[in-house]
Amino acid sequence: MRYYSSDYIVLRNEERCIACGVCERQCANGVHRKDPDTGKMTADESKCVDCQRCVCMCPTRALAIRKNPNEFRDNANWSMQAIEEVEKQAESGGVLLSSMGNPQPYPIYWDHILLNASQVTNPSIDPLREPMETKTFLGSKPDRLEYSKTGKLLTNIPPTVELNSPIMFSAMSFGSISLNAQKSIAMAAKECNTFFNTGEGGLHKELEPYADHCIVQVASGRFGVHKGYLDRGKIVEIKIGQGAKPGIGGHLPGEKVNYEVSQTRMIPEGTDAISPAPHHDIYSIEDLRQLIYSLKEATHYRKPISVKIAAVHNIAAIASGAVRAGADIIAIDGFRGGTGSTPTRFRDTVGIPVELALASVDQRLRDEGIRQQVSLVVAGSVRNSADVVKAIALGADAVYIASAALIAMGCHMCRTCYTGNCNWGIATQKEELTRRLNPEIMSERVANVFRAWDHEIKELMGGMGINAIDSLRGNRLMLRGIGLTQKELDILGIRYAGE
Amino acid sequence: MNYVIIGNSAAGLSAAEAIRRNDAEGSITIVSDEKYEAYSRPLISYYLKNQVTQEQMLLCAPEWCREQRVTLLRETSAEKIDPKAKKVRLSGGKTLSYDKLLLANGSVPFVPPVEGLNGQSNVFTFMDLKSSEAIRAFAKPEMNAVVIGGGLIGMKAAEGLSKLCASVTVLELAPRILPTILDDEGSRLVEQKLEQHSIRCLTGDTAAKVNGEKTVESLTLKSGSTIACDLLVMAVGVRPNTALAKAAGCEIDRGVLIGEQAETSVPDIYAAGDVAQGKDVLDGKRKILALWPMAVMQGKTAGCAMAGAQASYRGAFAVNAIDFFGLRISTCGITGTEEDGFTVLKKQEGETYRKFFCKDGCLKGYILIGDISRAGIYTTLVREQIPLEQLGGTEPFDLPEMIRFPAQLRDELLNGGVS
Amino acid sequence: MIRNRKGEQNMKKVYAIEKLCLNCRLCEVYCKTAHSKSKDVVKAYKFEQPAPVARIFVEGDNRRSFALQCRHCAKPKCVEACITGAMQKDPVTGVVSNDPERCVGCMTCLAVCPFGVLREGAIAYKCDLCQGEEEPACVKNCPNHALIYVEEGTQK
Repeated sequence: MRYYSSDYIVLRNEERCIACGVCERQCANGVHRKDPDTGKMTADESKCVDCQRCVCMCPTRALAIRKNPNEFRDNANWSMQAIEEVEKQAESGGVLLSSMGNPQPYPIYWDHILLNASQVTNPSIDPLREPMETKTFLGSKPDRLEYSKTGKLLTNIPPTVELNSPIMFSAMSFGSISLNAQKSIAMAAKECNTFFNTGEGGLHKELEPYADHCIVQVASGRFGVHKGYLDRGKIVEIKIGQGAKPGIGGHLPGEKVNYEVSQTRMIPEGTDAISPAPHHDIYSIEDLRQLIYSLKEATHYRKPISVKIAAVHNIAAIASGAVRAGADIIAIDGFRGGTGSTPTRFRDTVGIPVELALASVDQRLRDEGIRQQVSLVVAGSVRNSADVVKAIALGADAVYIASAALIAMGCHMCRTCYTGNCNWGIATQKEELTRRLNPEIMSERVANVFRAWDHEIKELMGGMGINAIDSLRGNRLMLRGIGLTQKELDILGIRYAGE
Repeated sequence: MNYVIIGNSAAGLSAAEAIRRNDAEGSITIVSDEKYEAYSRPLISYYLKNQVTQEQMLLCAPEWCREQRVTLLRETSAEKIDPKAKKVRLSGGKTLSYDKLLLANGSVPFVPPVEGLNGQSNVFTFMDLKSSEAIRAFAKPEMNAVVIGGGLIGMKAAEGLSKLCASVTVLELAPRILPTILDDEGSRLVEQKLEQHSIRCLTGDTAAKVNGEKTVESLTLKSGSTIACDLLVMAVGVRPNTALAKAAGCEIDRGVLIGEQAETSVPDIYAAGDVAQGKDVLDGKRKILALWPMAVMQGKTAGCAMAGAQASYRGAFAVNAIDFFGLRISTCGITGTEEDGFTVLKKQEGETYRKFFCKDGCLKGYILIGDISRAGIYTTLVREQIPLEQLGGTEPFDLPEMIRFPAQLRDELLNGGVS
Repeated sequence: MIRNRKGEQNMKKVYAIEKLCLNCRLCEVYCKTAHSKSKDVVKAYKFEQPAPVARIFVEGDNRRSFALQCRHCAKPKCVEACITGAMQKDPVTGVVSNDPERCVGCMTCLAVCPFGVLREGAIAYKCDLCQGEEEPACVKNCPNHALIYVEEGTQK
């Protein structure tokens, strides 16, 4: 007997169902089945994860997935979810696993920040008529520029990279997502002149043609790291932490380590790929500096080195340390950032919102006079172009998006990536599922999101009378808070709406 | 160049088309002893049961002869060929000169001597449109029809007659109906189907005596009983029209022997269709493959060869599809027994019966009754002689899927285009 | 534009890309619908009589599959075998089509088709490449672009 009920029910409009069996063939969880006796479709709802694949594929729009109306006795403390989680653990005795970002109803500060627009003075700009610049350069900037008498630049300019718009695709490893998913994103990055990030899974040889748009990650497990890998990437990113699971490492179960994954990660086929919680050679800022400079040496000081950290309580001090350790880019991953698999308790209760982390890091680096030494990239649930604009105005140089890119490829945030049965072919290595992503189609969809957001960013900037993204960066005067306490306003460094 | 074609059905017409494609100038004359324009012989059974009209049976648009510059001589028969002078004498005394001649004059019904059979007015054969018209005109709902001969022609006649007459009885001397294409189990399935439609099949029996002077009234059977008969169709078999060829000096076996280009043993004389006896690719034996696709293939080959183009019909083998009251039958290739070295596999599921004849690891022939969907894939296995092993097994029952073919071969077949 | 040896434009055909086929079989659904009277999926499946027939087959399972329909052969065996002249290859477009007015449903075509792509019924049903439409319904509705409609010779 199972002590908990199905999360969802399948509503099938019998008037419209033609029993074509598309839902049955498309559900890797085995929910739908044609009854051989009646010839009608039936459903085993206990297996449904509400990924919406069947709903989207049904040619007669006969399907809807609803929440199971089953209810427990009202209890604000012992909610149904809280009870069911205990029941699941009573059954399994194990750690509860979850996927994607923190779904709990914590404040989403993006939604408490409002943007400004010009009226009368400093008139707004129409981006369709006038030039509008969203081009972004990432990397350390010199304190000042020095020229010789003949006008020759004397200052040694640290390596930078150029993006068409301040949006990059954040780290998702081959292993956590399928090669087709990663390839789709890589193709989109090339198409849009931005970057994708290998995550800690190495760079598959099929993605080498997109290496000029690739950030290669070096994480605690060092999977897939070798000289060629570092040479190919345009940015090398040291992954210290991840917003969805700050303080712990990663775990790719052996069943996902097929031949291709094993070759790319340089580990035996079928073995678990365990990234340790810490880098075992980093126990201090000085150790981090050693790794940063090792990588700079290895790449002949031609590539910016990024350090990715999860947004945690003392993020500002950590970021400051990272800058002083030589980081050219700091990526801050907020607690709503996604993941293929993480313990539920970590996802839902560890870390802080990226908006607060960003504001405090930007402020701290300014206060210390080292802000120009580093580019700030924020990640952890940037959902739309307005979030991007708010992030830039709070002080970010660029944002990382991942969930949005996955959504462009069909992800409906069912948050069961850890099962490896992703019906959209994203978070799985099963060939019959990964085939569902045709990179030709998907890269276009992902690139469309990028282009649409870039367009919207330009419109929003134009509305504020700003014609270059550089003029928006750190421009918190463009932001006002709503529904926030004074403390929150202070941390965000913004005034209240109407002020 | 003068081309003369004797016979105006599948082989003759296909030859004319092939000639015209390869020789825009030459004169083409088709000699036909029928009064109709070219029509589809196999449709006479559909005509009998009133499923098609005579117009629908026509194979060519009315302007075809004019457009293709083909002279059609109707109701004219070829009486003698002079291969030395290269002339054909026609009925009515006219003579045609030819440079290339095609014999596509098919076959005639064979009517065996039966006691008492002497040209009664209600005795018919079932071979051409004329005979089908005659039966349709004569048949009345209250009549008892009898068909002697349970082969393909006889059974199709019986099927048609069942819609016209009160009762239909088929007499077949062999122990089963359709003896040349089916086995016992297969025949039984078809018999059951026919019985559902009031066709009685008496196997191992035939008419010993025909009773009735001007018209046949009843038949006395070999087994001793007597059955009423108001309409008699003689469908015991057919004989190829070899007389003309024989007189011209062509080598004859059962039919006119032809080579791979449909040529006979006499220079400039070709033969195609039911009159011709060519090589079966599956066993190398020369046999008469009296089937529509073969006639078209041989006719085309002959036409090309006559017009000096390259062609060959090396790939000939039997393949046939037929149905009785919706029960479909498809047969293909050659059949054999275990004594001949064949592996014979069969399976019956409801109204579906499948039997396969394998040899040397390849499929050589099949009988499918009932569900014949995708039969063509089996035909491909027979045609291409693809070792069954390559398809992941020697059990052909679940094979009719292209996905089982090796990827390269499949790609070649599907995307390389078949020629 | 690829031209064949005679200098004619090669005909456009539907090609299946096996590695992209999802085995969803929506091509069958939309083929059947395209060949229905109502052109409505639900009516085509549940109400129309005679029931419309899909002319495309998906073979295989979720692990490996591909869709298959008439290859519109250069020298079609079905045309050779047709006893009524219903089955014709258009000399201009190259499309092999079956005239429903003439076909008597003898199914000889089905027995000779090298790929078994004819469907039996009152007459033989086959792919007509959705003549009159910009592209065949199967191609248009394939969710993963596993079917392409391109000139012969450019499919690789």
